[in-house]
Amino acid sequence: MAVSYFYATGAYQTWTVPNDWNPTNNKIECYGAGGDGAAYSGRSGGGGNYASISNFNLTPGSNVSIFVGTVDVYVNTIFSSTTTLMATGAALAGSVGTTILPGGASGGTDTAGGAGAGPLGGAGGAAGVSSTNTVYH
Amino acid sequence: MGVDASGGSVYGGGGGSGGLTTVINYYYVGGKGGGYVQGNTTYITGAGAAGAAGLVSITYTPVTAPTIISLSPNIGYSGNTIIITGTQFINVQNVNFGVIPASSYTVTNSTSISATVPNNVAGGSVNVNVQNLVATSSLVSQDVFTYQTSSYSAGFMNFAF
Repeated sequence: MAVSYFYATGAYQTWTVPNDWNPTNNKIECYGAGGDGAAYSGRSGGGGNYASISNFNLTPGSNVSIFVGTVDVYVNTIFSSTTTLMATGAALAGSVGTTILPGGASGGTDTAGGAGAGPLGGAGGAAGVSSTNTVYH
Repeated sequence: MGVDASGGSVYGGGGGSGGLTTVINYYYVGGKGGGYVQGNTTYITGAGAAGAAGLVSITYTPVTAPTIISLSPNIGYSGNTIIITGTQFINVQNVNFGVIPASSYTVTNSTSISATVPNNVAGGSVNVNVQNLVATSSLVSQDVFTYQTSSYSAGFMNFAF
C-alpha cells in the first residue's frame, strides 16, 4: 500500500500521478481545516469537514493540484478542483466527494472547539476566555 | 499588547497605568490574546485557540508487473481472437506475440485481455507478453502461442440419389 500525505503550506501543491497508480484500488481523502476559536468569550471553532473518493481514475504522469486548507489562509482542502474533491472548513457547507462527513459544530461560547470529521480531521479551536487579575504595584 | 501563548506574561499598554505586569499560572494554547491594564487590574482578553489545519491523504495499492496465466486457445491462425488470462492488466500499453504487436486488443478487466493474433510469416511458437506502465510480463510456459501453418474446413456432403 502506497500512502502520501499533503500538509498545509498556504499554497497550491502539485502531485504527479505515478506510473503504478491503480485506478481500481485507491482512496483520496480531504480533511478541511478547523476554525479558530473566537477571542474574548466568543464561540469556539467548528471542526473541519471530510470528503473522500475511491477508485478514482487518474492518468499516470498527469499533474494534480492540491490545496490544504488552513484557517488563516483558506479553509477549504481541495484535490484537483472544487468539483472533483473538496472538504470545506469549519461551518462551511459544500464539500464534494462520494463520502462526506461533517465536522463537529462549534461548542458555543467559552467551550472547546468542534471535532474534525474523519480519523484525521482538523479540530476547531477552543474559544478564548477572558480573565482579570488584580496586582497591587 | 497581548498574551504570549506559550507563557504567562502580559504586556500592558493602553488604558490605565501600563507597564509590565506578570500574571502567574496563566496559560493559553493557541493564538495570542489581547490584554490591557487598568489601575491595578489586568484584563486579559484571550484569543481563541487556532483550529487544526487540513490534510490530503492519497492511498493506493501499486500496480505491479503483469503476469500471464493462460492463453485460450494457445494455438491458432493469424486473425484469430484469443483470450489472455492473468493479473495486473492495468494501464496496459502493449500486447505482443513474440516481437509482433497484436493486431488489436481489448482489456476486458484487470485479469483478461482479448487479443487478435497478428500475421507472422515465420510461424512456429512465440511467447505472448503484456506490457503495462510498470513492466512487461515475464516469460512463462503458459504464454506460448503456436501458429498453425495450414487449415482445412471440416464439412460434410450430402449425396442425393
